[in-house]
Amino acid sequence: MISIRLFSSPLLVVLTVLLLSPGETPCHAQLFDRATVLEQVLVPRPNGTVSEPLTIVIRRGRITEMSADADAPMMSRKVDAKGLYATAGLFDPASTLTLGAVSSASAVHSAWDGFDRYDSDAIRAAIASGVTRIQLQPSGPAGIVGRVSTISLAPLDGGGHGVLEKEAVALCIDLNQGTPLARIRTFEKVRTAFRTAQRGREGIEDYSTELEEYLEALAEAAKESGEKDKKKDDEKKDDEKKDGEKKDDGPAKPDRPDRNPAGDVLIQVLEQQLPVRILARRSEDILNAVDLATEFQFPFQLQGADEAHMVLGSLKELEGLSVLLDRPQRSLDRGAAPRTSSQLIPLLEEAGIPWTVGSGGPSSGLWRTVRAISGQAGKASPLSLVNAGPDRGSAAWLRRGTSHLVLWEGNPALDGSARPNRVIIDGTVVWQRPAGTQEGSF
Amino acid sequence: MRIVENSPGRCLLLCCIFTLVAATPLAGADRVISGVGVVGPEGSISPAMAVVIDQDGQVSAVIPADQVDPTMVEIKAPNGSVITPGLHDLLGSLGATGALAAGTKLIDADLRAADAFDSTDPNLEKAARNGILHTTIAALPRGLLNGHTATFVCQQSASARPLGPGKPFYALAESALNSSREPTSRVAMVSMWKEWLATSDASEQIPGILFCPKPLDLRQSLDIGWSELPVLVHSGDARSPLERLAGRQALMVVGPFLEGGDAAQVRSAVKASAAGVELAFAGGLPAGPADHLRRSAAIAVAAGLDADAARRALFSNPARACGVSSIGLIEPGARADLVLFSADPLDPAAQVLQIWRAGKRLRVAAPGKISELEVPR
Repeated sequence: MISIRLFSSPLLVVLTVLLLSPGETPCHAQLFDRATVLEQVLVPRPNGTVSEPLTIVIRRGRITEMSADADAPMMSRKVDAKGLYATAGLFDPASTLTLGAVSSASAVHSAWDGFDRYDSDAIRAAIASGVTRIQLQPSGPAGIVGRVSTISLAPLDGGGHGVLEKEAVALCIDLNQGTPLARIRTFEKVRTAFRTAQRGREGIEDYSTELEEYLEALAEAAKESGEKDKKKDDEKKDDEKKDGEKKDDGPAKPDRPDRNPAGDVLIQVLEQQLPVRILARRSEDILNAVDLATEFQFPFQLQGADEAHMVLGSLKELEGLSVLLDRPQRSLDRGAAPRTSSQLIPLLEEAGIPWTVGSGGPSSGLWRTVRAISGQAGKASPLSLVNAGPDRGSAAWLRRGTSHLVLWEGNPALDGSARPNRVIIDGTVVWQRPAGTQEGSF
Repeated sequence: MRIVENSPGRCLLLCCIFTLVAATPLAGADRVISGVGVVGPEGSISPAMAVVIDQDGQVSAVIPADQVDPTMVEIKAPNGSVITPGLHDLLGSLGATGALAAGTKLIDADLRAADAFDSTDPNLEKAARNGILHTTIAALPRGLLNGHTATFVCQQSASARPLGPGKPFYALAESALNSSREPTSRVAMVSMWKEWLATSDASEQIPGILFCPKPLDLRQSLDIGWSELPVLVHSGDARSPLERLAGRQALMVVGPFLEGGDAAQVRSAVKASAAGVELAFAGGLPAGPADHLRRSAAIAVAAGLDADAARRALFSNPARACGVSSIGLIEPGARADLVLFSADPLDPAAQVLQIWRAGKRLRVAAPGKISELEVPR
């Protein structure tokens, strides 16, 4: 009797059907999505303080609640994070993770194509250092090397890591390699490529115009041909007499310009649909980058920029310029390495040029680079220097909606040797420090 | 009467002079750096300490800061700052002229790397400003015995004397093979090594520094029968027989490690440390970046090296490796070659604020920043 009464409730019937139905449906996902709850977490704040111990609720991969008195949902996975500090996962805007010796030398190449999602050692080292999202930049012979891709280091069901978020983030141009003479040639090569693309764009525009004219002429010809058809019967006898005369072939169809995929990418740059990142460290290369941007009128991001302080006047005049600082090179070799200035960051800020920090390598060194630069910048907290996502200014402070988290053993905002303890992506703990080890970058 | 007439002005002048004299530490008197974390022989940092430097440019005491006479304090260090012995560019070529190439002799005991040292090299001063106060140079390892190493203070001067006699620099590596003289093969090289160790006097077998970079080099080095293990210069990877070094008080020179470099070498160093081997980070100046030593340490710590072991590898062990006892430690009697960092030197954000060479202070950090941090007395 009881079971009959229970099943008489329509709600219970629906629930029973859902439970028994095979396969995963959106309803299943909503009903059986277990929340992840981090208990007793400390959260560093931009003003230098640390929150009281909080409960962080992660539903469907994102933080939905973050407060001291949040209730843990039923059947949630609880993570005891007492004494750990939570920040957003770090974002490395200049990574070469897993690329190794992979070389690229064309605008059509995408860094994503070279990403090795099964290079578990390198990816694990990057995640263990708190990096959860990267902008992978191609490398190769000097010149136009390819397109930068944004990749999340989330684990995949079939093994490996790496989910493509955006394949073409920016076009990468390397003006930094080789001897001075080789670098001049590289600059000329890039310039020629853009000029060719410019001519190609003009060719396409001409073709479009000619095609329109052709279509108009064709329509007119067809109209004339119709009128002629009416008179055809009348003039049949005359036509037979004029058989020996030439026929009118109508308007000539314009030739379509040959397809040029690399040129098409450069046209996207010229039309400011695709941002540009130029790697240049020495002052002369930076000036070459400025010349390119001025001649072809595109804004760009300057990567490296070690000698930017020497040409700051030229950089100030550019619109839309930003600087991406990577591994600071402080070589003692005069002339062999770029001449850096400890005052570069204050000078950039004074000039109003926005800047950010990337590893310039396999991402496991991002936090060390950020700390080294924070020491140079005299910033109170290195967390304000590192981004949590591709949006400029999205510092790694924790906020609602965040899907990538790092739990640190010390306060990374203040402690230079703070190490990640756990890394959580979309509600799943993707890395945890093995018990009894010191592994994990700081 | 004139004295009486001018007394206000004279009194003021005398007061000023007296104040200045009282405020300035007497020439030749001990000077104290107070309120600072000190890196000890074990590599750990003891907070709130004071370092006393005597008039001979040596450390005379390391005592808790609260036991210091406030009138003797030369510098009250900023909060969180750490004082260390000088960093040491070990087996790089900082200050060396030429290619540091040895002669054609296979066993050359008379070759002195000190002869290649140029004390006027401006890189010495640049390195010092980055906290690197000592450099040890050696000839390239192209023979079995490549003369003796030489250690100098990084200070640009008209002349310089090495800090000690130096150590013999041996090689059991492919770099010692030469098609125009013996040994031309690895077999011959190992045979010559065994013969030398078996036939030479024990007095000739001075434990020096042995260049054996590859796993096979190390394996063969351990097989040839050293009475006392030399300092091993070894890059290594998973094939290195590091377990055979356990319990042998081995000291190994590793690195330099680079961002994105060979992870196997870093793991090998961490494994060696876990097996009880003491490490010292190799130098790379002037070719590498000036902060490469601390970067090597940070990379090794990130890979799992104990922080104290990393500090020993930065400061005390390089001095042990090159056989100079007066440097590498902050203890009574040691040279006062010191570096004041704004934080733990393993933190890449730490900046070099001040350096002392034989007790002589040089301010390094930009004045604008230092004024915010320190309270000069």
